[in-house]
Amino acid sequence: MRGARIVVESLIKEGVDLIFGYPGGAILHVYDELYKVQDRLRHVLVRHEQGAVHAAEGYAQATGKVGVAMVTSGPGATNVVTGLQNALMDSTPIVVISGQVATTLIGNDAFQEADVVGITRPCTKYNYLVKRVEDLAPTIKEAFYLARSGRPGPVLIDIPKDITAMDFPFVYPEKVELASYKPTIKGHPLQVKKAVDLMRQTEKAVLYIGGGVVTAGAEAEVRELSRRLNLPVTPTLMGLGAYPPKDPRSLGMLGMHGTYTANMAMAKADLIINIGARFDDRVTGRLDKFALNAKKIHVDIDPASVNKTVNVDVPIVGDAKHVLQQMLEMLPEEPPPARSAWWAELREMQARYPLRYRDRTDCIMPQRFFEELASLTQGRYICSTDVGQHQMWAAQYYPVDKGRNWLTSGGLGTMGYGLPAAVGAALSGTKEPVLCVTGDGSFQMCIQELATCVQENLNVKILIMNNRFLGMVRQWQELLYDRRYSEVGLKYFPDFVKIAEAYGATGLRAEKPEELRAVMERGLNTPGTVLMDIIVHKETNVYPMIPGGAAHYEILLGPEDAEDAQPRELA
Amino acid sequence: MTSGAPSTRHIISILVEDRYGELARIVGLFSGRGYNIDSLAVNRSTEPGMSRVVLTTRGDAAVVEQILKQVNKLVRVHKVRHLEGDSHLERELCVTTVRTQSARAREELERVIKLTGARVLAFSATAFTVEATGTSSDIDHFLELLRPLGIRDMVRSAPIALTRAGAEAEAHALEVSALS
Repeated sequence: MRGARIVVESLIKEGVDLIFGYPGGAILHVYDELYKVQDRLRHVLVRHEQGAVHAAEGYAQATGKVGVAMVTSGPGATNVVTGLQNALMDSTPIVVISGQVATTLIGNDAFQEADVVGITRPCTKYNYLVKRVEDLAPTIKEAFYLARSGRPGPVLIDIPKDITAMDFPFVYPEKVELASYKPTIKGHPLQVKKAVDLMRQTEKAVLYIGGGVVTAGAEAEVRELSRRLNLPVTPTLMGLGAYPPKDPRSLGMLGMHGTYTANMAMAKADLIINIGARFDDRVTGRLDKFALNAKKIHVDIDPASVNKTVNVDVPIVGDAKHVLQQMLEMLPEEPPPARSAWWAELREMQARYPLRYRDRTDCIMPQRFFEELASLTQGRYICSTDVGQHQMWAAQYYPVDKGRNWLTSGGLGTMGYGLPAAVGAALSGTKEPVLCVTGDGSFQMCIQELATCVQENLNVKILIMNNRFLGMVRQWQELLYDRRYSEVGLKYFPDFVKIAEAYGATGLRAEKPEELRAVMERGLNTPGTVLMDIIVHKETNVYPMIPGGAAHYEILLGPEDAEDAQPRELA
Repeated sequence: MTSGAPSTRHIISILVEDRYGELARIVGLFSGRGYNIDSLAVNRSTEPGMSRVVLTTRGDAAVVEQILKQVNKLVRVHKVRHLEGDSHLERELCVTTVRTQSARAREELERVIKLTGARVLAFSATAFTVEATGTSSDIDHFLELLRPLGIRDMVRSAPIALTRAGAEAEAHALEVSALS
């Protein structure tokens, strides 16, 4: 069988039925085979290779399956770098297949040649240059195994053009033999026991959950643990949806723009139970003031994430679902602890400092935009976001109650992620519309994928929170640079409604508060790809906010809570 | 903690598959995460298809813990060992050519050779090429003794290190505690 066909048949053997890509010279042989297997393997043509990777990520985040992207050599491959790093930071399983110039040309500065394994080595979990046709099938088998197992991540396979033209009998391996790669799944029983004892003995405990809970499919176990130990729960940005946001034990999101109560709970806790999160700097704030009174339990499948930035008392390396099940089995049958004083303290903070803002009648407040969206959808649709203020408000107000319905770029903060990720999610088999919440800055970073949406007739509803600013950067310049707004006001704006129409999508606009709900309703109910340009107040800041390098208890509140918005010492 | 100071030197021994790009992965991990490699030695190991990498780096205990974990996480790294305390032996090779134009210089060189166990590799009417092995400080000392004669050329290898006979159990325990 020809190498190119081996590639395609291997993908089919892996259960892949959808790939995102963009053809070119070095990958031509494979595209010729794709043409022949259209009935078994669907290829979606994007408009830029970055879009292909983010679409594969969106598909993977929404389904838990491995997303696949295919690109050509040189510029095709260098365009996937951002997506690879994004997937690495957010532990998203994807496999990228890139064409490469023929083995006889490698090193000659050939047309569209780039050292792609060299360039992508630090931004992949693993990568390969396939130099022999007999290695193709085993390499693809191993790549998928590495992408989805352990802490998932991106894997790239670089295939020279001549390899795809060579013949070799196709045998797909049954198993992967990797003596040096054995992810730990079960937690060490003694460590689990220690954790269970601590959870039962401490009063002011907080369950801090991250993307690992979604990856492991451990939502039910988290709920059960929270119920049986009466534990307050706070998700990270990546853990949103893993715990029902409306559940009384949810404190809302943690971190730089998390709720007052979630952050103060961390500051005051005597025990922090981290399940599948990594003590990211956006969550810990100032490290030497982080959770000073708390013992820490950390469950993570990646041993290198344990004791990386925060030293913990009970490290447990393992899969979140397995470890939680072990914890639940060890918990004695007993009524949940009351934690009355702790809950009273938390309830008081929640009552005093809820998420709030002052609404206006002369313009649409950004928070109102998200409240309206929440009320219309009840958080039941898949929602992708871009990066910036709109992302934080979406995280605060969109009540997503399923981890796989929340697609966002957490670790890398990639503007341009949202639209292609929505493309991937819309092709994941959902019958519902897929929301893409974006900003006027982010949207223009992968705006070309509107063509992909229309071409595939995708049920994607794009909502642009348009404040005519790179709002998050502007907010930092307002608060930290004395309002010196350096290059944050986009001086020229295309007419987004006309852009939508030019691409063949539906375009709508809301400028006044009284138009907001009607436009959203109409947009959500219009079939196909719809863009809603929502003009919001220009200079609203996202609060609460823990400034970079500050401690949790130095959290800033909005102008509504101005009298309390001073830095405060930890009680 | 003995290895607590930021500038403490650490020897790390890595068994990695001998494949295209694996050394680059190890080296890239150090540069990408801001760790320094002071020295690096790579060669075949006794296990077929495997290379042994011995490198030295600097850092406090937390940095070394991260390095060990990150290296161990590399897909084709089979073993990582932190060689600590007196559980291991360390050797560096030095080859140098010194001027020996006078009889006095030749006598002095003979004295140094006797003292250090160095070996003559080649000689001419005016110069000798000699080799010495030892720890880094042994080699420093060796070169210091030769300096008055005039060193014409010198090359020294990265140190290599091995757990000494009798200390295997101790080293294994350290490895387990570092990676669990």
